Amino acid sequence: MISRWLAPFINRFGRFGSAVIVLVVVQTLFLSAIIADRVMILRSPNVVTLLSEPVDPRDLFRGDYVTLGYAITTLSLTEINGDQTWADGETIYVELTPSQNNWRAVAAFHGHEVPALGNKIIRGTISYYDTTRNVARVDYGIERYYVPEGEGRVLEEERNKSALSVDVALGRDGEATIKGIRIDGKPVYEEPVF
Amino acid sequence: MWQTIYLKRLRQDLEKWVERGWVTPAHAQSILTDASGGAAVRHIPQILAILGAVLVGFAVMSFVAANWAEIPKIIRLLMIFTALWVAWGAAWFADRRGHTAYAEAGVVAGLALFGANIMLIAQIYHVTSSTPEWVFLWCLVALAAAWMLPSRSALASTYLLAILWTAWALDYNEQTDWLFFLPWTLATWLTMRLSWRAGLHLALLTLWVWAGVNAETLQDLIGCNTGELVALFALVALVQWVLGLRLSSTSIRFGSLLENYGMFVAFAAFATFQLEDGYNGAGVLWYALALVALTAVGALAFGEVTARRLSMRDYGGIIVLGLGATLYPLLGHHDGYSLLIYATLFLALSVWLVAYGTARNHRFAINAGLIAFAGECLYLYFQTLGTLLNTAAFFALGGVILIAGSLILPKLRRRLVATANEGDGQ
Repeated sequence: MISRWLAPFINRFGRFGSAVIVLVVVQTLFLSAIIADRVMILRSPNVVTLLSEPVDPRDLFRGDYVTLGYAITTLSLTEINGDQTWADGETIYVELTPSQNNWRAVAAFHGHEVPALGNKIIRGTISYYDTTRNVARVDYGIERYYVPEGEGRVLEEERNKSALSVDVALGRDGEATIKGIRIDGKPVYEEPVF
Repeated sequence: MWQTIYLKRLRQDLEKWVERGWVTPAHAQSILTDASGGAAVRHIPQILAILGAVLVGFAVMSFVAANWAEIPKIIRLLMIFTALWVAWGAAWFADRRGHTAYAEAGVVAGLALFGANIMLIAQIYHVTSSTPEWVFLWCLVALAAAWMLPSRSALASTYLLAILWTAWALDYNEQTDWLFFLPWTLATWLTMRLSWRAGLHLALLTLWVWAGVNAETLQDLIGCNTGELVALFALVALVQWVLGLRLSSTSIRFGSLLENYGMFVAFAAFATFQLEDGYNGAGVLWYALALVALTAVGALAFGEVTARRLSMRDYGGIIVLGLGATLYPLLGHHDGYSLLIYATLFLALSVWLVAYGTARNHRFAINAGLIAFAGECLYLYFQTLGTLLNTAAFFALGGVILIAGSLILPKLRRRLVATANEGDGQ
C-alpha cells in the first residue's frame, strides 16, 4: 500500500533522492518546531523578573554562557502553600507573586492551577528533593544565558557591583524562556524574537 | 601493518598455489597487484571526503561556540537551515553523478549539521538543553537516514550517537540506560541486512562500551560488587562466543567476529578473577542470572557438539570457563587462594585456547591464547617477585611450564600443520 503510494515519488527522484527529501523535510520541521515553541513564549505577555546570581563556566560545544541561579531555584516547601509531598524528577508548577521589583514563590502544585489575580505560574522539574527538610531544588530551563565569547566574565564583574535580574517570559503552560537581562534594573541584553 | 602482513601471506600462498598448478603465474601477479594497490587507492577519496565532512562538522560547532552575536538572529537561522539543505543537496547531487564516496560525505555533513543546528538554536534562544533527549533524537534521525538511503556512514554515526546518548543519559538520570538498545538493536539488524562487517565491529564494540559505562548502576541493580559483575560479563561473553560458533555455520564472516569478541571479553574478564576484592556481595539475582547464562552456554555449546562443530574437549574448556565465572563469588574472595585457583585455571585455559585455535585453524584464538599465557606468566612474575624464595619459586615454575610447553607445543604444531594440509587437500 505504502510502496504503491511512494512508487511515483521514487520513480521521479530515485530512492536516494526521495530519502534525502524526506530527511530534509523531517529535520527542517523538527528544527522549526523548536524555534516556533520559543517564539510563542517570547511573544507571551506574561513576563516576570527574577533576581539572579550568575557564575561563568564554558560549554564545550556552545561557547560562553552565564549560569543563573534564582531565589525560586531552592524552594522551602513548608514555607509556601500548595502540595507538600514531592519526589525527584517530578514536574512542579510554582505560583509567583510580585514583590517590589521582582517576583517570589508563594505556592507549589503538581498540576497547573489557576493563580490568584496578578500572580503567574512557572513550570519546572525537581532535580533534587530533600525529604527531611522538605526542600526542593528546581530547574526551570532558564539556568543558562549564552553570551558572546569573553563577555561572561564582564557580566559576572557587573553582577558583583550591582544586582542582576532576569526578565522571563512564560508560556500558557508555565514554560519559561529568558527574555532579557537587567543590571540595576536597566536592560543590558534583550532578546529579539527573530 | 595488517595490509603488509596480509600481502606477505598472500604472496607465500600464491607461490604455493602456482607450484601446485592451481593458479597461473599471470593470474597470481594480477591478484597481487590488485591486493597491494587497488583496495587502498579505492578507499582514499572516500576516507578523505568523510574526514572532510567531519571537519566541516567541527568547524560548525566551533563557529557556534564563538557565539556569533554580530549577526542578526534571523540571518543566523537562515544560515543554519541553508547549511543543512546544502549538505543534503550535495549528497543527492553526488549520488546522481555516481560519486558514492562524496554522497556518503554529504550524508555525514548533513547529519552533523542537524546536531549542530539543534545546539545552535538552543544557544540562540537560551534553551537549557543539558538534558540528553536531543542526542537520542539525533541518533534516531541518523538511524532513519541509514535505513532509508541506505548509508553505512549514517549507520556508523548511529552507533556513535547511541554511545554518546547512553553516557549522557547515565550522567543525567543516574540509572542504567536501557533505551540504548532501541537504536542499537535496529542498527545491528540493519548492519546484518547490509552485510557490513565493519558495522558488526561497531555493534559489538558499542555493546561492550555500554556494559562498561553502565557498570556502576548495573551493580546496584543486580546486587553485586565489581568483580562479580565482571564474572557475569564473562558469562555473557561466553554466550556470545557460542552463538558465534553457531552463526559461523551459515555466515563465517559474522560468526567468526562474534566468536572473537566473545572469546576476547571472556578471557579478559577471567584474567581479573585472580585479583581478589575482599568480600562476597552477590545476591539472589546475581546467582539466578549466572545460572541462566551458564545453562544457556552449556545448552548452546552442547548443540554445537551434537552438530559436530565442537569437540568434547573444547566443550569442556568452555564449560570450565563458565564454571570459573559462576563460582567466582565463592572462590574469588579468599586471601591467597584466589590467585592460586584462578591463575592456575587461567594458565590451563590459555593452553587450551591455543589447542582450540589449532584444531579449528583459528588464528585469532591461537594468538589470543599465546598472548594470554605470556601475559599471565609476566603477571605472576611481578606478583611473586619480592623475596628471593618467591622469585626462585617463580623461575622454577616458569622452567617447569616451559619444559611442559616444549613437549606440548610440537604436538600442537604437528596438528596445526596436519589440519592445514587436510584443508588444502579438500
